[in-house]
Amino acid sequence: MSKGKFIVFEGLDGAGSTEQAELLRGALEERGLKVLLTKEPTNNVIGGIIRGALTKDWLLSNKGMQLLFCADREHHLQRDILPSLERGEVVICDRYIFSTLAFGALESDMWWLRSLNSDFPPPDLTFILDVDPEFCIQKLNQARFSFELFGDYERLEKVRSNYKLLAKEYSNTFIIDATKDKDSILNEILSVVDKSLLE
Amino acid sequence: MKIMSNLEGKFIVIEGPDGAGSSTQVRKLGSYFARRNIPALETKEPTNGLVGGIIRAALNKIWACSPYGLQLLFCADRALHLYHEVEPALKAGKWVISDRYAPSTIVYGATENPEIDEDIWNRLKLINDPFRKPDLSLFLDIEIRLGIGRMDSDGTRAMRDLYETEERLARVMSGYRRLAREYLHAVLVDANGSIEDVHERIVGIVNERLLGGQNE
Repeated sequence: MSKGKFIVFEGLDGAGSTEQAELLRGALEERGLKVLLTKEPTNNVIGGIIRGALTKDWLLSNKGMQLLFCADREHHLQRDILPSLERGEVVICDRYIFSTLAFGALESDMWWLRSLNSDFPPPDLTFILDVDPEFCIQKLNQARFSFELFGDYERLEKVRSNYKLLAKEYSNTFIIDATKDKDSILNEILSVVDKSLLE
Repeated sequence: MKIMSNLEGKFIVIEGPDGAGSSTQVRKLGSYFARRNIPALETKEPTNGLVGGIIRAALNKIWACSPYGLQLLFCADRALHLYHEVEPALKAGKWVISDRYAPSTIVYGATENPEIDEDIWNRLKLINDPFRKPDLSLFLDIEIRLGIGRMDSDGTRAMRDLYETEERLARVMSGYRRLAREYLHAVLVDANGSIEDVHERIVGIVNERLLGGQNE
């Protein structure tokens, strides 16, 4: 393995990407690999104000929001992701460029969103956890106090199909049926990751 | 006196390198509009909002931010500026005069190095493309004299710093001159001379382009 491996998890809120990212980290560490588990938006400066906007503590337009996500991404890459990859580590990141494209395209032009991200490095592998929005809405209403900004069923269904379009367009992108049990999902992911680690 | 009815106000931007006097000219133009009973909002970028604060902290090295990260933050601040201040004012029939706007991001972003970075120039224009275009952009054009000339290796540190600052200023100024050729709504304004001289030139251009040539 040359300079690290960059693995990204994507999907609707509540599809299980966070859980699978953690399980994958555990499995890879068992294999003796050094892993950085991280996510976007980050817990750093810009990530903080993004969360404030998502919970409607302050208001901004969709374009402003997407620009902040990308500024956070740039900071994340410079500060955490790229140095980790340089050290030969595996980076597992929960949400990355596809989140901006899939969610952002609800209100902004896809070409514009792509131009914001055009210089960012592509992941080595992307796993999109695919699930019906109904599943997510139920799960989130149980677990969280307020449903975050990107709300209702119709919008989520559009995001889901945006993810599917991106999977067709980009290589090394895998759609995973997230309604299966978590161990089956992990095994499916591991078979792809193990193969990739050998390359 | 113009009757404003349901019409939107006009959006004017004043730009230029540091020290060219854009803030002063924004204030003077604001006073001129007040005398002509044109309701106007004077504003600036970066704003005093949340993102403006983060930008200032980055510029003051309170936290480490890469050049591209800073450019994205300037654009996010712009989106906020439009959303919270500029668009509402224009819709209410007010004219808006902003000290800095998209041209600052493009020009400063692409002139870090001696040669203009074409990729950055084009990308920053693209990123700013969805934002409302001003009705009129005034680029203050000042002469930058590189008084120190080519630096000798035994020049003092202070002299070197000054030369680098002047050099950077010269690059920024040539960036603005190039952008003025690329944007239809942009005009270069000779900013050499007194504050009053520059103000009079600006008033002349505003009258000609936005007020149907009516002087007062």
